[in-house]
Amino acid sequence: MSFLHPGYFLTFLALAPLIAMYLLKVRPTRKPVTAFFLWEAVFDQKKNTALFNRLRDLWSLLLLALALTAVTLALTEPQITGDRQKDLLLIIDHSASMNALDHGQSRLDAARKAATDILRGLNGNRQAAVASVGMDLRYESHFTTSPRTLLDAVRRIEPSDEPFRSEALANAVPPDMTIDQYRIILISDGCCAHEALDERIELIKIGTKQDNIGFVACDLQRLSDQPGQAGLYFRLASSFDRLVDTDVTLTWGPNDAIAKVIPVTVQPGINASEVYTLEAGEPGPWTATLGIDDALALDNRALMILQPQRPIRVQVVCDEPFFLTHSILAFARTSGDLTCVTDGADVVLASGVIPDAQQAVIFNPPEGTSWCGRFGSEVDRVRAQVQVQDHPVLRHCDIETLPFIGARQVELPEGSLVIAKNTDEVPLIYRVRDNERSALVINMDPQDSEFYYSAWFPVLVYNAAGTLMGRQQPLASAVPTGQSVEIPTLDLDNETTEVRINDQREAFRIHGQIYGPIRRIGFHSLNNRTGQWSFGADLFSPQETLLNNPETQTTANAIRRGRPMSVLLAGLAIALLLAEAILYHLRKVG
Amino acid sequence: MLLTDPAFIRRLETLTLLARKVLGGTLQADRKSTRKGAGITFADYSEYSLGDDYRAIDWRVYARLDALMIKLFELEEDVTIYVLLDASRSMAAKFDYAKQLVAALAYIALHSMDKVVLYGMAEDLSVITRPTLGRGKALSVLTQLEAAPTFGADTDLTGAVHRLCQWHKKRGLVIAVSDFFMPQDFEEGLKLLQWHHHDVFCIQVQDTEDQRCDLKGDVELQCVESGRVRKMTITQAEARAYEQAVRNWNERLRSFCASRGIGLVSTTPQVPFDTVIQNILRRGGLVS
Repeated sequence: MSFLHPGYFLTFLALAPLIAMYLLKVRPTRKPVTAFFLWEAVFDQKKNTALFNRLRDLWSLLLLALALTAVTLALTEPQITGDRQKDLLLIIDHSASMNALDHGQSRLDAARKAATDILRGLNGNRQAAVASVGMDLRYESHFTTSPRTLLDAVRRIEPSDEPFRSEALANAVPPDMTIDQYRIILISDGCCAHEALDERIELIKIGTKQDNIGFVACDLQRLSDQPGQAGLYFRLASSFDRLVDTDVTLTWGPNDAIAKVIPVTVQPGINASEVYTLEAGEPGPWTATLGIDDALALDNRALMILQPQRPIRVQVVCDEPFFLTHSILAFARTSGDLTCVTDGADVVLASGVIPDAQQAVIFNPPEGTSWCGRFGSEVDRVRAQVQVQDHPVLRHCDIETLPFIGARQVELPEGSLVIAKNTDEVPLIYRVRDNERSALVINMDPQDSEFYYSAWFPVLVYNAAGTLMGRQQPLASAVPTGQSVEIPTLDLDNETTEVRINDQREAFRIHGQIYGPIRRIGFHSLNNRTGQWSFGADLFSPQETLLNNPETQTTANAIRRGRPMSVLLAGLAIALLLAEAILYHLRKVG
Repeated sequence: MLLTDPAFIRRLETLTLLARKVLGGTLQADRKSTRKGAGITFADYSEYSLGDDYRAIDWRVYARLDALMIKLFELEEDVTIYVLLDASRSMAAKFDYAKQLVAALAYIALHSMDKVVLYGMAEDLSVITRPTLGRGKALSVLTQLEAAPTFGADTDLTGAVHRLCQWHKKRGLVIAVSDFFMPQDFEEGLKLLQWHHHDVFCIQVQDTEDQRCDLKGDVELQCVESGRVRKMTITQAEARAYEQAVRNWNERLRSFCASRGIGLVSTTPQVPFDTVIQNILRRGGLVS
């Protein structure tokens, strides 16, 4: 034990005057009495209490001396040996696994209690800050000595549905931080990649081994070759030490009508994936529920949306529409993602003309000026170069092998995005926007280039239609929390989408094509100009579901917890003074 | 109030008048002798024998019984009143009051032509006034009584009675004025007085502070007479026990006096002295 202010031991010098004052204080007053012999008779009958009465002065003096000792020790602020007296950054893990019940209370409650104990131990002498971590690090309070601010910050930390991301802690450790600056204490159940934790972060591990089973992956898709049917895929993980037999109940719709009950035997660890076919694959919300009551409830359900069939309506405008029409019909017959229409199209597929349409894929634009560019003479020699790597229009296409015969010199309007160009900078594939209109121009004559016979032709048409309608990626049925989702949008940058979670009345708006990272489990409903889209958000995190990570252990050095010893000593001094006051009162008033 | 103060003497005069009215004009009236003689109050009949006064023969009885009977009358004789005034230090707080009582009794006695002797009593007897007779000596007695001091370390009633009986063989009325807080007991002394054929009357004067305990907590009790000191812690229980002890002591005195035919009046300085005297007179005088 060490003392923060040993100089206060001089307070013991007050013992001498204290004793002197005490002796003066307790000296009884002399009272003359007439019937002294009667008083003697009274007290001779009370001799059994005489010993206590004789020692009462000694007791009082002893209590006073003890009280002074307690006050002195409180002033010196005794410290536990080993606690490095530094400022603290206290990080509390509030990831999904911290919702797990551990002996009747959640791990987050235990973490908050541990943090509260540590903050109380600071005694206002040191600065501290409080942060929470899940997917990312969020400061709940700045560095302060105010215990109330810090305790309020701890209380504000709410449980989340997020997985723990060790990389989030990188922001907590400045690159140039030395170990002497401040201590970083992470209070967590250790369900994380321990090797990713910075060695300067001290871990206080809470929680004990708990049994849990949960979904770590799940998907529900229409079977393209079997109309009306759907395929269910899921994967379970278990922290049990034994095989567990349970059921997965699949329900559909807002009334949770039971569609299928699947008996499963769950092995310890991450299980192999399982696939099932649903005869009646109705589009809409689906829920897979595990029939087990375990430590963590969040991962016992998997929420999914079986997306409805919504083909992109494509109209062909061309003198020779045969190849263009069949490129559409190829996808209409198989995946059903495209359909060919003659009116009310979402996308117009044109060759040799500039169509008057909101969304258009234009092959071989004619010479002259239009809203999508000023086209000149043909280019002699073409060699395509990809300008935007991994652009969805070029997905699965080896565009650099195409001849691009009939490509024209073109002067692009402002704001155009060149996806592929000739070596002499002539744009070959580009996207252009004009207010509400958008077009993808493929600067070639497909007939002269014999592009109709290329395997990339229908692929390019499919990609182009999907890109214009904002459907570069099919929307998944279930998305893990912590990941982002590409929203179908007509305008990549300026589209506004209204988001509603679990049919909440209050919706919020997001801008752009990316929604995420997703933080809450539930059915997420997105609404924009392309229509209404939904998906389920689930935990799907093996490290959170398995709950027990034996590889993480407490690494924190000694740290003072609970109320400071000086406070306890002060309380003891008050109690002793109170006891002495009672004794004194008894002496004064009997 | 000084005993020689005119106002005080006027109150004594009032008491004297009251004594005459109540007791038939003289304090002698209540000092009945067991001897029969020439008085005015009928006492008994007796057979006539040679030498008896013819005037005392009751002829009406002779007419009915045919026997000579004479009427006997109570003998009225002068009385010596011995006053033992407790002058120990325990009486310090109520000594003036006790003096007023003694002064009143002495004044009435002198006006009744009784002989009065006043003694201060502690562990010894101290003469306040020698035997005095006649109303003309009243002022002198009051002056000497007023000058009487407290003295001694303790009250020894038995010793005081021994000395009194040695000094005065003639029996009389002994009035003891004291708080009767006597560690050496009061019973022996009172018995001794009766054994010497004295009529005894006790006036107990106790202050309310003597009877009640307002002390609490740690105190050093000091005996006002002996000076002994004892450190004590007084709680509510001890205070009650003390008050009960005082009540028991006073009850013991009352019982003893009642059983021995000794008159007793208990009073406190809060009661005016003339009220106490009036009560004594209205009860029939200094009789038990």
